[in-house]
Amino acid sequence: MPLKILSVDDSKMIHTVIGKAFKSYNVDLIFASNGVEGLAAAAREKPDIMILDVTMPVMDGIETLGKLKADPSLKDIPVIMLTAEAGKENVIKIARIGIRDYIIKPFTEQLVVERVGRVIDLQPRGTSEAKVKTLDDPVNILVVEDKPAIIEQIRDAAGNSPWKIIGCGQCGEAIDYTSKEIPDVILISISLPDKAAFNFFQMMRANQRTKSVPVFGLSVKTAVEEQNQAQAIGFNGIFTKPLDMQELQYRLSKAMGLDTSKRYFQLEGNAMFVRIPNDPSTIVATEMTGYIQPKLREMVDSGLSKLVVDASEVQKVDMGIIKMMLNIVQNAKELGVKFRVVGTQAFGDQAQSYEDTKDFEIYPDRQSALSSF
Amino acid sequence: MHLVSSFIRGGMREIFSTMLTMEITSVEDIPDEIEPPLRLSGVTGQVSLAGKFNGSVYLNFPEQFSKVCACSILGSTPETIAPEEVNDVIGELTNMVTGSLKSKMTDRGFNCQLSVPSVMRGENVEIDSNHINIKLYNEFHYDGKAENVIKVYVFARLEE
Repeated sequence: MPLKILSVDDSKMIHTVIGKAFKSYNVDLIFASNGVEGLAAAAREKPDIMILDVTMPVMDGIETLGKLKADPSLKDIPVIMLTAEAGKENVIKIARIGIRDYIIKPFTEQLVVERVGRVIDLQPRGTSEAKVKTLDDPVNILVVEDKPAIIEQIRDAAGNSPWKIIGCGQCGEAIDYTSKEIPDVILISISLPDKAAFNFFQMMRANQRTKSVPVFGLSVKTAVEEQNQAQAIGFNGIFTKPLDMQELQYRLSKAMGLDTSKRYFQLEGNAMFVRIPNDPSTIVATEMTGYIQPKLREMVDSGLSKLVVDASEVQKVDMGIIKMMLNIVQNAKELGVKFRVVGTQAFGDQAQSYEDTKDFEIYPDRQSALSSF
Repeated sequence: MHLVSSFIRGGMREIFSTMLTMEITSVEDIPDEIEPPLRLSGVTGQVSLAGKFNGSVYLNFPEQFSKVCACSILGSTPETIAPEEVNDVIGELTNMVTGSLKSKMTDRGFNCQLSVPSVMRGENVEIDSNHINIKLYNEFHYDGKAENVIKVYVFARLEE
Protein backbone atom coordinates (compact mmCIF):
# COMPACT_ATOMS: atom_id res chain seq x y z
CA MET A 1 0.00 0.00 0.00
CA PRO A 2 1.47 3.37 -0.95
CA LEU A 3 1.79 5.93 1.83
CA LYS A 4 -0.60 8.87 1.61
CA ILE A 5 0.59 12.47 1.64
CA LEU A 6 -2.04 15.20 1.99
CA SER A 7 -0.93 18.61 0.74
CA VAL A 8 -3.16 21.48 1.88
CA ASP A 9 -2.35 24.71 0.05
CA ASP A 10 -4.34 27.28 -1.88
CA SER A 11 -1.67 27.43 -4.60
CA LYS A 12 -1.66 24.96 -7.46
CA MET A 13 1.97 25.92 -7.96
CA ILE A 14 2.84 24.41 -4.57
CA HIS A 15 0.85 21.26 -5.39
CA THR A 16 2.79 21.01 -8.65
CA VAL A 17 6.13 21.32 -6.88
CA ILE A 18 5.12 18.72 -4.31
CA GLY A 19 3.84 16.43 -7.07
CA LYS A 20 7.18 16.68 -8.88
CA ALA A 21 9.12 16.14 -5.65
CA PHE A 22 7.42 12.81 -4.91
CA LYS A 23 6.97 11.51 -8.45
CA SER A 24 9.64 8.86 -8.00
CA TYR A 25 8.27 7.63 -4.67
CA ASN A 26 5.62 5.08 -3.96
CA VAL A 27 3.11 7.52 -2.45
CA ASP A 28 -0.44 8.65 -3.15
CA LEU A 29 -0.75 12.42 -3.16
CA ILE A 30 -3.99 14.06 -2.11
CA PHE A 31 -4.49 17.80 -2.61
CA ALA A 32 -6.78 20.21 -0.81
CA SER A 33 -6.95 23.97 -1.38
CA ASN A 34 -7.85 25.24 2.09
CA GLY A 35 -8.22 24.13 5.70
CA VAL A 36 -11.85 23.08 5.43
CA GLU A 37 -11.13 20.85 2.44
CA GLY A 38 -7.97 19.66 4.16
CA LEU A 39 -9.78 18.49 7.29
CA ALA A 40 -12.41 16.72 5.18
CA ALA A 41 -9.68 15.00 3.15
CA ALA A 42 -7.82 14.03 6.34
CA ALA A 43 -10.97 12.43 7.80
CA ARG A 44 -11.71 10.61 4.55
CA GLU A 45 -8.22 9.50 3.53
CA LYS A 46 -6.41 9.15 6.89
CA PRO A 47 -3.10 10.32 5.37
CA ASP A 48 0.26 9.24 6.75
CA ILE A 49 1.41 12.88 6.77
CA MET A 50 -0.04 16.32 6.06
CA ILE A 51 1.87 19.20 4.49
CA LEU A 52 -0.05 22.29 5.57
CA ASP A 53 0.30 25.85 4.31
CA VAL A 54 -0.12 28.67 6.83
CA THR A 55 -1.65 31.45 4.73
CA MET A 56 -4.82 30.28 3.00
CA PRO A 57 -8.30 31.65 2.37
CA VAL A 58 -11.42 30.15 4.02
CA MET A 59 -9.47 28.53 6.87
CA ASP A 60 -5.77 29.18 7.41
CA GLY A 61 -3.19 26.63 8.44
CA ILE A 62 -3.05 27.61 12.10
CA GLU A 63 -6.79 27.16 12.59
CA THR A 64 -6.73 23.94 10.57
CA LEU A 65 -3.98 22.54 12.76
CA GLY A 66 -5.93 23.45 15.93
CA LYS A 67 -9.01 21.60 14.67
CA LEU A 68 -6.92 18.62 13.57
CA LYS A 69 -5.30 18.31 16.99
CA ALA A 70 -8.70 18.59 18.71
CA ASP A 71 -10.12 15.65 16.77
CA PRO A 72 -9.18 12.33 18.46
CA SER A 73 -9.36 10.48 15.15
CA LEU A 74 -7.01 12.90 13.35
CA LYS A 75 -4.71 14.24 16.05
CA ASP A 76 -1.99 11.66 15.42
CA ILE A 77 -1.51 12.61 11.76
CA PRO A 78 1.97 14.17 11.61
CA VAL A 79 1.97 17.68 10.18
CA ILE A 80 4.70 19.62 8.41
CA MET A 81 3.87 23.31 8.13
CA LEU A 82 4.75 25.24 5.01
CA THR A 83 5.19 28.95 5.52
CA ALA A 84 6.52 31.93 3.63
CA GLU A 85 7.26 33.62 6.95
CA ALA A 86 10.59 32.64 8.41
CA GLY A 87 10.61 35.14 11.31
CA LYS A 88 11.62 33.71 14.68
CA GLU A 89 8.31 34.68 16.28
CA ASN A 90 6.30 32.91 13.60
CA VAL A 91 8.44 29.80 13.76
CA ILE A 92 8.11 29.62 17.56
CA LYS A 93 4.36 30.13 17.30
CA ILE A 94 3.83 27.28 14.84
CA ALA A 95 6.30 25.01 16.64
CA ARG A 96 4.22 25.34 19.83
CA ILE A 97 1.05 23.99 18.28
CA GLY A 98 2.21 20.47 17.74
CA ILE A 99 3.86 20.11 14.37
CA ARG A 100 6.58 17.66 13.40
CA ASP A 101 8.56 20.09 11.28
CA TYR A 102 8.22 23.22 9.19
CA ILE A 103 9.46 24.28 5.76
CA ILE A 104 10.12 27.88 4.86
CA LYS A 105 9.19 29.00 1.34
CA PRO A 106 10.98 29.12 -1.05
CA PHE A 107 11.91 25.47 -0.85
CA THR A 108 13.44 22.90 -3.17
CA GLU A 109 11.84 19.59 -4.12
CA GLN A 110 14.77 17.86 -2.47
CA LEU A 111 14.15 19.65 0.83
CA VAL A 112 10.50 18.68 1.04
CA VAL A 113 11.35 15.03 0.28
CA GLU A 114 14.06 15.06 2.95
CA ARG A 115 11.77 16.55 5.62
CA VAL A 116 8.87 14.23 4.82
CA GLY A 117 11.31 11.30 4.68
CA ARG A 118 12.29 11.98 8.28
CA VAL A 119 8.71 11.31 9.36
CA ILE A 120 7.50 8.54 7.03
CA ASP A 121 9.43 5.76 5.36
CA LEU A 122 9.50 6.82 1.72
CA GLN A 123 10.14 4.04 -0.76
CA PRO A 124 11.17 4.61 -4.37
CA ARG A 125 8.32 3.95 -6.79
CA GLY A 126 8.26 0.39 -8.07
CA THR A 127 9.95 -1.26 -5.09
CA SER A 128 6.72 -2.67 -3.73
CA GLU A 129 4.75 -3.57 -6.82
CA ALA A 130 8.10 -4.37 -8.41
CA LYS A 131 8.38 -5.03 -12.06
CA VAL A 132 11.76 -6.68 -11.75
CA LYS A 133 14.27 -5.14 -14.14
CA THR A 134 16.06 -7.46 -16.50
CA LEU A 135 19.26 -7.24 -18.53
CA ASP A 136 17.20 -5.66 -21.33
CA ASP A 137 16.12 -2.70 -19.21
CA PRO A 138 18.12 0.53 -19.24
CA VAL A 139 20.01 1.28 -16.02
CA ASN A 140 22.15 4.27 -15.07
CA ILE A 141 25.51 3.59 -13.50
CA LEU A 142 27.27 6.57 -11.99
CA VAL A 143 31.07 6.21 -11.96
CA VAL A 144 32.95 8.77 -9.86
CA GLU A 145 36.62 8.34 -10.73
CA ASP A 146 39.43 10.80 -11.40
CA LYS A 147 41.12 8.36 -13.81
CA PRO A 148 39.29 8.68 -17.14
CA ALA A 149 40.75 5.36 -18.35
CA ILE A 150 38.83 3.48 -15.66
CA ILE A 151 35.58 5.13 -16.70
CA GLU A 152 36.31 4.18 -20.31
CA GLN A 153 37.03 0.56 -19.35
CA ILE A 154 33.67 0.33 -17.60
CA ARG A 155 31.96 2.01 -20.54
CA ASP A 156 33.61 -0.47 -22.95
CA ALA A 157 32.52 -3.37 -20.77
CA ALA A 158 28.92 -2.13 -20.90
CA GLY A 159 29.29 -2.30 -24.70
CA ASN A 160 25.99 -2.39 -26.52
CA SER A 161 23.99 -3.25 -23.43
CA PRO A 162 21.33 -0.79 -22.25
CA TRP A 163 23.59 0.12 -19.32
CA LYS A 164 24.37 3.83 -19.42
CA ILE A 165 27.64 4.86 -17.78
CA ILE A 166 27.70 8.39 -16.38
CA GLY A 167 31.32 9.33 -15.70
CA CYS A 168 32.21 12.09 -13.23
CA GLY A 169 35.79 13.15 -12.48
CA GLN A 170 34.88 14.81 -9.19
CA CYS A 171 32.33 14.38 -6.42
CA GLY A 172 30.86 17.83 -7.12
CA GLU A 173 29.74 16.71 -10.58
CA ALA A 174 28.32 13.52 -9.10
CA ILE A 175 26.36 15.46 -6.48
CA ASP A 176 24.91 17.65 -9.23
CA TYR A 177 23.91 14.54 -11.16
CA THR A 178 22.26 12.84 -8.17
CA SER A 179 20.28 15.99 -7.41
CA LYS A 180 18.60 15.56 -10.81
CA GLU A 181 18.60 11.79 -11.40
CA ILE A 182 18.69 8.76 -9.15
CA PRO A 183 21.30 6.31 -10.49
CA ASP A 184 20.67 2.58 -10.19
CA VAL A 185 24.13 2.00 -8.78
CA ILE A 186 27.20 4.10 -7.94
CA LEU A 187 30.88 3.21 -8.32
CA ILE A 188 33.32 5.61 -6.69
CA SER A 189 37.08 5.64 -6.30
CA ILE A 190 37.79 5.51 -2.57
CA SER A 191 41.20 7.08 -3.13
CA LEU A 192 39.82 10.45 -4.26
CA PRO A 193 41.56 13.31 -2.42
CA ASP A 194 40.38 14.50 1.01
CA LYS A 195 38.34 11.36 1.71
CA ALA A 196 35.82 12.69 -0.80
CA ALA A 197 34.37 9.23 -1.49
CA PHE A 198 33.49 8.72 2.16
CA ASN A 199 31.83 12.13 2.46
CA PHE A 200 29.97 11.46 -0.79
CA PHE A 201 28.80 8.08 0.48
CA GLN A 202 27.45 9.64 3.66
CA MET A 203 25.64 12.32 1.66
CA MET A 204 23.99 9.64 -0.45
CA ARG A 205 22.88 7.69 2.60
CA ALA A 206 21.56 10.83 4.33
CA ASN A 207 19.46 11.77 1.32
CA GLN A 208 16.03 10.16 1.14
CA ARG A 209 16.21 9.92 -2.65
CA THR A 210 19.53 8.10 -2.79
CA LYS A 211 19.69 6.24 0.50
CA SER A 212 18.84 2.89 -1.13
CA VAL A 213 21.19 3.21 -4.12
CA PRO A 214 23.97 0.59 -3.90
CA VAL A 215 27.43 2.19 -3.66
CA PHE A 216 30.61 0.27 -4.50
CA GLY A 217 34.17 1.44 -3.94
CA LEU A 218 36.93 1.24 -6.55
CA SER A 219 40.39 0.68 -5.10
CA VAL A 220 43.84 -0.66 -5.79
CA LYS A 221 44.42 -4.04 -4.19
CA THR A 222 46.99 -2.77 -1.72
CA ALA A 223 44.85 0.04 -0.24
CA VAL A 224 43.59 -2.32 2.43
CA GLU A 225 43.04 0.32 5.09
CA GLU A 226 40.80 2.42 2.81
CA GLN A 227 38.90 -0.70 1.76
CA ASN A 228 38.28 -1.66 5.39
CA GLN A 229 37.10 1.85 6.15
CA ALA A 230 34.70 1.76 3.21
CA GLN A 231 33.30 -1.61 4.29
CA ALA A 232 32.97 -0.35 7.87
CA ILE A 233 30.82 2.63 6.94
CA GLY A 234 28.55 0.51 4.79
CA PHE A 235 29.73 0.48 1.17
CA ASN A 236 27.95 -2.36 -0.63
CA GLY A 237 31.28 -3.75 -1.78
CA ILE A 238 34.70 -3.05 -3.26
CA PHE A 239 36.08 -3.71 -6.74
CA THR A 240 39.84 -3.84 -6.92
CA LYS A 241 41.83 -2.58 -9.87
CA PRO A 242 42.65 -3.89 -12.42
CA LEU A 243 38.93 -4.47 -12.73
CA ASP A 244 37.59 -7.90 -13.59
CA MET A 245 34.80 -6.81 -15.90
CA GLN A 246 32.86 -10.05 -15.67
CA GLU A 247 32.87 -9.85 -11.88
CA LEU A 248 31.84 -6.18 -12.11
CA GLN A 249 28.88 -6.95 -14.37
CA TYR A 250 27.66 -9.86 -12.30
CA ARG A 251 27.96 -8.11 -8.94
CA LEU A 252 26.36 -4.92 -10.22
CA SER A 253 23.48 -6.92 -11.70
CA LYS A 254 22.94 -8.56 -8.35
CA ALA A 255 23.16 -5.27 -6.44
CA MET A 256 20.56 -3.72 -8.75
CA GLY A 257 18.32 -6.76 -8.33
CA LEU A 258 18.27 -7.45 -12.07
CA ASP A 259 16.74 -10.65 -13.34
CA THR A 260 19.75 -12.10 -15.18
CA SER A 261 18.24 -15.52 -15.80
CA LYS A 262 18.25 -14.76 -19.52
CA ARG A 263 22.00 -15.40 -19.45
CA TYR A 264 21.22 -19.09 -18.94
CA PHE A 265 17.52 -19.85 -19.43
CA GLN A 266 15.56 -19.41 -22.63
CA LEU A 267 12.09 -20.45 -23.61
CA GLU A 268 11.85 -21.57 -27.22
CA GLY A 269 8.70 -23.13 -28.58
CA ASN A 270 7.46 -25.67 -26.09
CA ALA A 271 10.79 -26.30 -24.37
CA MET A 272 13.10 -24.57 -21.91
CA PHE A 273 16.81 -24.38 -22.78
CA VAL A 274 19.42 -23.99 -20.09
CA ARG A 275 22.94 -23.02 -21.12
CA ILE A 276 25.85 -24.36 -19.06
CA PRO A 277 28.67 -21.77 -19.23
CA ASN A 278 32.22 -22.88 -19.95
CA ASP A 279 34.62 -22.77 -17.00
CA PRO A 280 32.25 -20.76 -14.81
CA SER A 281 33.76 -18.62 -12.07
CA THR A 282 32.33 -18.96 -8.59
CA ILE A 283 30.18 -15.87 -9.06
CA VAL A 284 28.76 -17.19 -12.36
CA ALA A 285 28.12 -20.66 -10.90
CA THR A 286 26.39 -19.15 -7.88
CA GLU A 287 24.23 -16.87 -10.02
CA MET A 288 23.25 -19.65 -12.41
CA THR A 289 22.55 -22.19 -9.65
CA GLY A 290 20.28 -19.67 -7.93
CA TYR A 291 17.95 -19.65 -10.91
CA ILE A 292 17.64 -23.43 -11.40
CA GLN A 293 14.79 -24.18 -9.04
CA PRO A 294 12.67 -21.04 -9.70
CA LYS A 295 13.02 -21.26 -13.48
CA LEU A 296 12.15 -24.96 -13.60
CA ARG A 297 9.12 -24.35 -11.38
CA GLU A 298 8.13 -21.46 -13.60
CA MET A 299 8.28 -23.64 -16.73
CA VAL A 300 6.19 -26.39 -15.11
CA ASP A 301 3.74 -23.81 -13.84
CA SER A 302 3.29 -22.50 -17.36
CA GLY A 303 2.56 -25.98 -18.71
CA LEU A 304 5.96 -26.96 -20.16
CA SER A 305 7.68 -30.25 -19.45
CA LYS A 306 10.68 -30.41 -21.81
CA LEU A 307 14.11 -29.23 -20.76
CA VAL A 308 17.27 -29.15 -22.89
CA VAL A 309 20.48 -28.80 -20.91
CA ASP A 310 22.94 -27.29 -23.38
CA ALA A 311 26.56 -27.95 -22.37
CA SER A 312 27.98 -27.50 -25.85
CA GLU A 313 30.16 -24.58 -24.71
CA VAL A 314 31.80 -26.68 -21.98
CA GLN A 315 35.32 -27.71 -22.90
CA LYS A 316 36.47 -29.14 -19.63
CA VAL A 317 34.25 -31.04 -17.25
CA ASP A 318 35.10 -30.58 -13.59
CA MET A 319 33.30 -31.01 -10.29
CA GLY A 320 31.75 -27.53 -10.58
CA ILE A 321 30.12 -28.45 -13.89
CA ILE A 322 29.05 -31.85 -12.59
CA LYS A 323 27.41 -30.28 -9.51
CA MET A 324 25.56 -27.78 -11.70
CA MET A 325 24.31 -30.53 -14.03
CA LEU A 326 23.19 -32.69 -11.12
CA ASN A 327 21.37 -29.79 -9.54
CA ILE A 328 19.42 -29.27 -12.77
CA VAL A 329 18.72 -32.96 -13.27
CA GLN A 330 17.61 -33.45 -9.67
CA ASN A 331 15.19 -30.50 -9.84
CA ALA A 332 13.89 -31.69 -13.20
CA LYS A 333 13.19 -35.19 -11.84
CA GLU A 334 11.46 -33.84 -8.75
CA LEU A 335 9.18 -31.70 -10.92
CA GLY A 336 8.51 -34.43 -13.48
CA VAL A 337 10.34 -32.58 -16.24
CA LYS A 338 11.85 -34.59 -19.11
CA PHE A 339 15.37 -33.51 -19.99
CA ARG A 340 17.99 -34.04 -22.66
CA VAL A 341 21.67 -33.08 -22.61
CA VAL A 342 23.50 -31.43 -25.52
CA GLY A 343 27.30 -31.45 -25.68
CA THR A 344 30.35 -32.08 -27.78
CA GLN A 345 31.95 -35.48 -28.19
CA ALA A 346 34.70 -34.38 -25.79
CA PHE A 347 32.10 -33.35 -23.21
CA GLY A 348 30.40 -36.73 -23.54
CA ASP A 349 33.68 -38.56 -23.08
CA GLN A 350 34.58 -36.56 -19.99
CA ALA A 351 31.07 -36.85 -18.49
CA GLN A 352 31.31 -40.64 -18.71
CA SER A 353 34.18 -40.63 -16.30
CA TYR A 354 32.00 -39.26 -13.49
CA GLU A 355 29.69 -41.68 -11.69
CA ASP A 356 26.77 -39.25 -11.63
CA THR A 357 26.85 -38.38 -15.33
CA LYS A 358 28.16 -41.54 -16.92
CA ASP A 359 24.69 -42.62 -18.06
CA PHE A 360 23.78 -39.31 -19.73
CA GLU A 361 22.82 -39.67 -23.35
CA ILE A 362 24.52 -36.74 -25.08
CA TYR A 363 22.96 -35.12 -28.16
CA PRO A 364 25.18 -33.22 -30.64
CA ASP A 365 22.84 -30.23 -31.03
CA ARG A 366 19.64 -28.67 -29.73
CA GLN A 367 17.56 -29.81 -32.68
CA SER A 368 18.39 -33.49 -32.28
CA ALA A 369 17.77 -33.24 -28.53
CA LEU A 370 14.37 -31.64 -29.12
CA SER A 371 13.26 -34.18 -31.70
CA SER A 372 14.16 -37.03 -29.34
CA PHE A 373 11.41 -36.10 -26.81
CA MET B 1 19.44 52.16 -0.81
CA HIS B 2 16.62 51.68 1.68
CA LEU B 3 16.96 48.67 4.01
CA VAL B 4 13.61 47.33 2.76
CA SER B 5 14.96 47.42 -0.82
CA SER B 6 17.93 45.32 0.22
CA PHE B 7 15.52 42.79 1.77
CA ILE B 8 13.43 42.75 -1.41
CA ARG B 9 16.48 42.25 -3.62
CA GLY B 10 17.81 39.34 -1.54
CA GLY B 11 14.37 37.71 -1.30
CA MET B 12 13.62 38.04 -5.01
CA ARG B 13 16.92 36.50 -6.07
CA GLU B 14 16.55 33.58 -3.65
CA ILE B 15 12.93 32.88 -4.54
CA PHE B 16 13.44 32.97 -8.30
CA SER B 17 16.56 30.86 -8.05
CA THR B 18 15.01 28.22 -5.77
CA MET B 19 11.50 27.94 -7.18
CA LEU B 20 12.02 28.77 -10.87
CA THR B 21 15.75 28.05 -11.26
CA MET B 22 16.02 31.55 -12.76
CA GLU B 23 18.97 33.74 -11.84
CA ILE B 24 17.61 37.28 -11.91
CA THR B 25 19.62 40.46 -11.47
CA SER B 26 18.55 43.65 -9.77
CA VAL B 27 19.00 46.91 -11.66
CA GLU B 28 21.38 48.94 -9.54
CA ASP B 29 21.69 52.24 -11.39
CA ILE B 30 18.18 53.57 -10.79
CA PRO B 31 16.86 55.26 -7.64
CA ASP B 32 14.81 52.94 -5.42
CA GLU B 33 12.24 55.63 -4.52
CA ILE B 34 9.06 56.29 -6.48
CA GLU B 35 6.00 58.45 -5.92
CA PRO B 36 2.50 56.96 -6.27
CA PRO B 37 0.03 56.89 -7.94
CA LEU B 38 1.34 54.58 -10.65
CA ARG B 39 -0.12 52.95 -13.70
CA LEU B 40 0.79 49.31 -14.26
CA SER B 41 0.23 47.00 -17.20
CA GLY B 42 0.51 43.25 -17.44
CA VAL B 43 0.07 40.88 -14.51
CA THR B 44 0.47 42.19 -10.97
CA GLY B 45 0.47 40.24 -7.71
CA GLN B 46 -0.36 42.08 -4.51
CA VAL B 47 -0.11 41.16 -0.83
CA SER B 48 -1.08 43.47 2.05
CA LEU B 49 0.75 43.77 5.35
CA ALA B 50 -0.99 44.86 8.54
CA GLY B 51 0.62 45.62 11.88
CA LYS B 52 3.66 47.60 12.87
CA PHE B 53 4.78 47.40 9.26
CA ASN B 54 1.72 47.98 7.12
CA GLY B 55 1.13 48.58 3.46
CA SER B 56 1.33 46.58 0.25
CA VAL B 57 3.87 44.78 -1.91
CA TYR B 58 3.29 44.55 -5.68
CA LEU B 59 5.12 42.32 -8.17
CA ASN B 60 4.46 43.41 -11.76
CA PHE B 61 5.29 41.25 -14.82
CA PRO B 62 4.77 41.81 -18.56
CA GLU B 63 2.14 39.29 -19.60
CA GLN B 64 4.46 37.23 -21.80
CA PHE B 65 7.17 37.01 -19.14
CA SER B 66 4.58 36.07 -16.49
CA LYS B 67 3.75 33.08 -18.70
CA VAL B 68 7.43 32.17 -19.03
CA CYS B 69 7.82 32.21 -15.25
CA ALA B 70 4.67 30.17 -14.66
CA CYS B 71 5.65 27.65 -17.34
CA SER B 72 9.08 27.13 -15.84
CA ILE B 73 7.54 25.88 -12.62
CA LEU B 74 4.39 24.17 -13.91
CA GLY B 75 6.06 22.50 -16.88
CA SER B 76 3.54 23.97 -19.36
CA THR B 77 4.10 25.97 -22.55
CA PRO B 78 3.26 29.68 -22.99
CA GLU B 79 0.85 28.73 -25.79
CA THR B 80 -1.24 26.40 -23.66
CA ILE B 81 -1.02 27.77 -20.12
CA ALA B 82 -4.31 29.15 -18.73
CA PRO B 83 -4.47 32.68 -17.26
CA GLU B 84 -5.66 31.23 -13.92
CA GLU B 85 -2.51 29.12 -13.72
CA VAL B 86 -0.34 32.17 -14.38
CA ASN B 87 -2.28 34.12 -11.73
CA ASP B 88 -1.72 31.33 -9.24
CA VAL B 89 2.06 31.35 -9.77
CA ILE B 90 2.33 35.16 -9.68
CA GLY B 91 0.21 35.26 -6.52
CA GLU B 92 2.34 32.61 -4.82
CA LEU B 93 5.59 34.33 -5.82
CA THR B 94 4.25 37.60 -4.41
CA ASN B 95 3.30 35.77 -1.21
CA MET B 96 6.81 34.36 -0.90
CA VAL B 97 8.51 37.71 -1.53
CA THR B 98 6.25 39.46 0.98
CA GLY B 99 6.67 36.60 3.49
CA SER B 100 10.42 36.91 3.20
CA LEU B 101 10.20 40.68 3.78
CA LYS B 102 7.81 40.19 6.70
CA SER B 103 10.23 37.76 8.38
CA LYS B 104 13.05 40.27 8.26
CA MET B 105 10.87 43.14 9.48
CA THR B 106 9.40 41.03 12.31
CA ASP B 107 12.90 40.07 13.47
CA ARG B 108 13.57 43.83 13.76
CA GLY B 109 10.51 44.41 15.92
CA PHE B 110 8.00 45.37 13.23
CA ASN B 111 5.53 42.52 13.56
CA CYS B 112 2.83 42.25 10.92
CA GLN B 113 0.33 39.88 9.31
CA LEU B 114 -0.03 39.03 5.63
CA SER B 115 -3.16 38.89 3.51
CA VAL B 116 -3.73 36.16 0.96
CA PRO B 117 -2.39 37.29 -2.43
CA SER B 118 -4.54 38.84 -5.13
CA VAL B 119 -3.67 39.21 -8.80
CA MET B 120 -4.66 42.03 -11.17
CA ARG B 121 -4.49 42.03 -14.95
CA GLY B 122 -4.94 44.79 -17.47
CA GLU B 123 -3.54 47.95 -19.07
CA ASN B 124 -2.98 51.11 -17.04
CA VAL B 125 -4.20 49.72 -13.73
CA GLU B 126 -3.78 52.57 -11.25
CA ILE B 127 -2.36 51.86 -7.79
CA ASP B 128 -2.11 54.47 -5.10
CA SER B 129 -1.38 54.61 -1.41
CA ASN B 130 -2.05 57.16 1.30
CA HIS B 131 -0.25 58.01 4.54
CA ILE B 132 2.89 56.12 3.70
CA ASN B 133 6.52 56.98 4.19
CA ILE B 134 8.12 54.01 2.45
CA LYS B 135 7.70 54.25 -1.34
CA LEU B 136 10.12 51.89 -3.01
CA TYR B 137 10.72 50.61 -6.50
CA ASN B 138 13.07 47.80 -7.46
CA GLU B 139 13.55 46.33 -10.90
CA PHE B 140 14.85 42.91 -11.85
CA HIS B 141 15.89 41.46 -15.19
CA TYR B 142 16.23 37.90 -16.36
CA ASP B 143 18.64 36.73 -19.04
CA GLY B 144 19.74 40.34 -19.75
CA LYS B 145 16.59 41.06 -21.75
CA ALA B 146 14.60 44.23 -21.22
CA GLU B 147 11.31 42.44 -21.85
CA ASN B 148 12.04 39.95 -19.05
CA VAL B 149 11.48 42.50 -16.34
CA ILE B 150 9.90 42.28 -12.90
CA LYS B 151 8.98 45.51 -11.14
CA VAL B 152 8.53 45.38 -7.38
CA TYR B 153 6.81 48.17 -5.48
CA VAL B 154 6.59 48.52 -1.71
CA PHE B 155 4.24 51.17 -0.32
CA ALA B 156 4.23 50.99 3.46
CA ARG B 157 4.45 52.72 6.79
CA LEU B 158 6.25 51.85 9.99
CA GLU B 159 4.14 52.24 13.13
CA GLU B 160 5.83 53.32 16.35
